[in-house]
Amino acid sequence: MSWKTPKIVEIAL
Amino acid sequence: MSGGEDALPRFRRGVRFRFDEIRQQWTLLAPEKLFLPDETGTEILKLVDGERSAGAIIDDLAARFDAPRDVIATDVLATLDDLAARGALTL
Repeated sequence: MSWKTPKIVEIAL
Repeated sequence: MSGGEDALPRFRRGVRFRFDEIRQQWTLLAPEKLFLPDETGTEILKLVDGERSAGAIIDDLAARFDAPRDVIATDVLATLDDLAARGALTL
């Protein structure tokens, strides 16, 4: 439950 | 674009947040693009319901994760702002 900076990958369909 | 902790994030019309059984991962499907959040991003998005404020989302995460609230707040607000800028959320 350590906090990691969120990463959100965006993919063009 | 920043809404701060009073913002009420919600998914834009046509955007779906769901668990993809094939990929075994939570996905955010938007028109013509797909967002793939990591574990932390997923925990944030699970709390986006259009009724909970950004501050309430931060409080929830701060109660569960081992990190100072201000660190979590910075990351959550940046993530929400980023997704709003990319057209997945409104704040």
